[in-house]
Parts: sequence; C-alpha cells; structure tokens
Amino acid sequence: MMREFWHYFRNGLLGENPVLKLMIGLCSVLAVSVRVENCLGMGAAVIFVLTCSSLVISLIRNFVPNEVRIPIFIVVISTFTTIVDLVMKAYLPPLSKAMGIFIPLIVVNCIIMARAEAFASRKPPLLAVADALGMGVGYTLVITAIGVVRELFGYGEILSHPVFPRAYQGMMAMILPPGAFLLIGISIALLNWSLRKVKS
Amino acid sequence: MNTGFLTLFKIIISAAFVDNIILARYIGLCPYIGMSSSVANSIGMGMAVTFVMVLASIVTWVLWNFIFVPLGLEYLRIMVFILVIATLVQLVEILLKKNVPNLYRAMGIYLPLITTNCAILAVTFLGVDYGYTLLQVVVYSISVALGFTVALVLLAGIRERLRLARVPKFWQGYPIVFVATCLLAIAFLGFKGLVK
Amino acid sequence: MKNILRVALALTVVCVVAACALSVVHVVTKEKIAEEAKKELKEALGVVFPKAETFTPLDLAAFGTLPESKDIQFLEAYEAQSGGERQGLVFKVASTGYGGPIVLLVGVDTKEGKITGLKVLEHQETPGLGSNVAEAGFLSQFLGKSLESPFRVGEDVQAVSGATISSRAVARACAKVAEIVRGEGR
Repeated sequence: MMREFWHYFRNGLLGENPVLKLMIGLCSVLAVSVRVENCLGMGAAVIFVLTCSSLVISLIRNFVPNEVRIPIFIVVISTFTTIVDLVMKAYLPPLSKAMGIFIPLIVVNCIIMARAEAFASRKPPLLAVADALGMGVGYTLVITAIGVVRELFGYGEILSHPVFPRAYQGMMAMILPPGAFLLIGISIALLNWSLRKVKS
Repeated sequence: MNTGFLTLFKIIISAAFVDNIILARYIGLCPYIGMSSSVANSIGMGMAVTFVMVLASIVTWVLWNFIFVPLGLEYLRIMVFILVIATLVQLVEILLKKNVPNLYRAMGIYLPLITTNCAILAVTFLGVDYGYTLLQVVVYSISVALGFTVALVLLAGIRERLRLARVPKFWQGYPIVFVATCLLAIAFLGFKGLVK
Repeated sequence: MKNILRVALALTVVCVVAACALSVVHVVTKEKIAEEAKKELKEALGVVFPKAETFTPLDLAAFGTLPESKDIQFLEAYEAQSGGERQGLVFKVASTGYGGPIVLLVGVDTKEGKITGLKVLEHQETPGLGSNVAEAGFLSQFLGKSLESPFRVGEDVQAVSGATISSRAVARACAKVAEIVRGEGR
C-alpha cells in the first residue's frame, strides 16, 4: 500500500504533472505567478482544497449516485474553496487581496475537478490523498518556478527582496501576459526535452 | 442617456479587447488550449460559451441582488454560482444533443468542461463586483464572450496553419501553441489606451 | 421512484452538510474580516494624515454639491482631529485612470491649506507603468502642496513617464478635493 502511495505521489509531480503534462490548472498559474509570495500562497491553497476534496470524495464514493456525482463534487469542492477564501480574508488579508479573484476560482481549477472525476471517486482514501498531494505539490513547483523567473526578471526581486542591483529596470514583458505565455511554452518544451532524454 | 450609451460602449470595448479575458486576464485557458485545434470547433465552443455566460450572468445577478445581499448570504456565493452554471451547462448539453448532434459529438468532453470554464464563473463574480445594472451585466457578458470567441478563433486559425509548418522537435504540440498565444497577447496589448 | 429518492437524498445530505460547515466557518471568521477592514482603513487614514489622533466619518452631503463628473466621484469623507480639534479632512475619491477607477485617500490640512498625504487604495493600472502612481516616488511631490495649486500634469505635477493618464487621474483627484475645501471657506 505504501509503495502505491509513493507511486501516485511521484506521478503527480513529474510524469503526469498537472500543469505541464495534463494541461490543466493553467489560468491560475499564469495569473498569480507574478510574485513568488503569491505562488506559494496559491500552491498552499490548492493543495488544501485538492487534498480535502479528494479525501471527502473518496470517502463518500460508494454513497454517491452516478447521476448526481458532478453536482456533489462541485458542492464539496466549493465548500473547501469557500473555507480557504474566508480564512484567508480573515487572517491573511494582504495575500488574499494580491490573489484576488483567483482564490474563489480555485473551485473551477480544472485540476481539482479532473482528479475528483478520474481518480478520487474511484480509489480508496489513502491513494486519493497521495494523488492529490502529488498533483498539488507538482502544481506548486511549476507555479513557483515560473514565479521565480517572472519576479526576478520582471522586478529584480525575489519574495520582494531586491536581488539585482537597483539600476535594474525590470523586464516588463515578464510581468505582462505575453511573457507568461512564452514562459509556459518554454517550460513545456523543457519538460518534453528532459522526459524524452530519460525515455531513450 | 448619452452617458448610458457611452458607458455601455466602453464596457464592450474593454471587456472584448482591452481586457480580453484570455489574452489579458488569463482566465478561460483550459478550453482555449483544448478547443482551438480547429476553427469550426472554436466557433461552436464560442457560441456555447456565449449562451451559458449570458444566461449565468443574468441568473446570478438576480440571485445576488434579490436574495444574497438582502439576506447576508454572500459567503455562499461560490457554491451557488457554480451550481447555477453547472445546471445551465446541463441544459445546453440536452439542447445540443437533441438539435445539433454533430456539434454535440465534436465537442465531446469539452461541453461538460464548460462548467469548469473559469471564464464563466469569473464573469458572474465580476458582474456583481463591478456593481453593474442588469443591462450592463448583459452587455458585459456578451462582450466578454465575444472577446473569448475572437481569441479562440484567432488561435485556431494559427494552429490550422501550424499543422503544415515544420516545428522544432520539442516545441511540437503545446509549446508552440503557447508561443503563438504569446504573440496574440502582444497584439492585444496594442488595444491598451483605447478606452480612456 | 426509489432511484429518484436516492439521488435526491444524496444531494440534499451533501448540500446540508456543506451549508452547515460553511455557516460555521463564516460565523467564526466574520468578526475578524470586519475587523481587518476597519484596521486597514484606520492605517490608511493614518498614513495620509499622520498628525491626527482620531478620524470621524462625515456625511458628504455636508459639503453641498460636489464637483463630480464621470471621471471623478467622492466616496467618503473623514474629519481628522487632534486634541479634540479639527485639523483637517480626508476624502476618499475615485478618479478614472487608464485601466479603471483609481481609489485614493487625499488628506488636507484645513488650517494651513495644504495636502498632508495621499494613498492609493485600489487601482487597475498597468503593472510597472501606471501602477507607479501608487508609489512614494510619484506621490511625494503632492505633500505640502498648497490648495491653491493648479494640480495639472505638465504644470506643477510631474507625471510618471509613460503613464500620463494614470498621473492625471491622481492630479485630478487632488484638484477636486482642493476645490471642495477652498469652497468651504474654512
């Protein structure tokens, strides 16, 4: 059982990385990754909602009639999303403001719904949690990596600490949408390249 | 009345072009990447999204202003709005299956995926957060859907051409699509400043 | 029939549990969220008018017809007090910028007829360009400005390079606030 746990966990990190391989959860990655701090916050929020939802859905999977499974998944996911939203508004207001609309949008973060449908509703709780954690951490790694590049070259800072000398003007392209799209394209190409090397 | 029309015009231009929901706000990317492989599919997807988006915006606006706010139930909005959207998508699915079966089959999994289309949920939130009137909300949602469809069709056109091009090995598939999107985004940046 | 009952029951149970869970979290966090909003406002007011001890909200109607237009709206007004005496006023204004309305606080010392401070609360300006109007580098030029100043970009206000519209929005806010306060005659 433990071996399966690690198998599914690792899967979410690399082989079936939700952002770079499965192409889900993209909106939030690009929008939030302007500052590393936001990326970490978003990653944590997604891991929380994903893991709790997958766990609950897996626990109730035998009691849920097939016809209404989607609405029920939605209710479960939106409940945890709302909890994250309220808790952040109360205890982490500046972070909540920085992430804005993307916290409530976690409910339609394709990753959570896709994993609920494809995995959590069919597997026992422990494995569902493994998959959720793997996917969540995989997501966080990607969004943070992109965030590091964007904040570093866009603002010359990491976690709002200046890294480049003050004279650095900041590449606006990194902060605006075109840079984000380009970076994702490059990341996927890089992942393809590294995975192909491993395969052959 | 003059100001009324001017505001509506500003809403249309900014929602469709200046603040294009995909190319400027990053919202709605999953179906954008998934459905843009052919122009025909894109137009179909665009129409379905428009229909759901406008309906959802109206229903949620009414619910918000007449039930949520008076009763102080704002915290339930995520759950209820998304359930409204899910229901509407179900309806669209049934309608399409009966009346336009070809499109229904072509859309495959992307039809139920409209439910998780961040764009629709985002528009329902923004419609009430901006404090729009009902008319403004309708205009706003139509404009956003228009912008979404335009961006989608543009990318589909490019992707159809890409199929015949010689793309370097590791860029094949999604990476080159994102590069194309990057260029589209740069083009749309040119709209900034259109609305003062 | 049995199937419909099962379906309805499952749906109802899940919804009820969810609604209960949310209500609990809502009640627990409600106070804190309201507190945070108040704290944020107090902090912002303090930044804009550092010499004041307390701030009392005022009714905008007390100022008569406001110089509003489609580009500028007055949202709130506060009296800044120190030692029980009025030291000045703080206005919350929404001024149309490049990407949308810029909401800012403008603090005015009514005794000396000067701007005491500015703070941008919300904006949708272009990051790296227009967003710089929220920074001290741009806003500091307004500190201590007399209310008689023209508040015009190019004249007495230096814009952020490449962000004329955003800069104009802030200047406009100051100009209108000055107009109100001068009109009061106090």
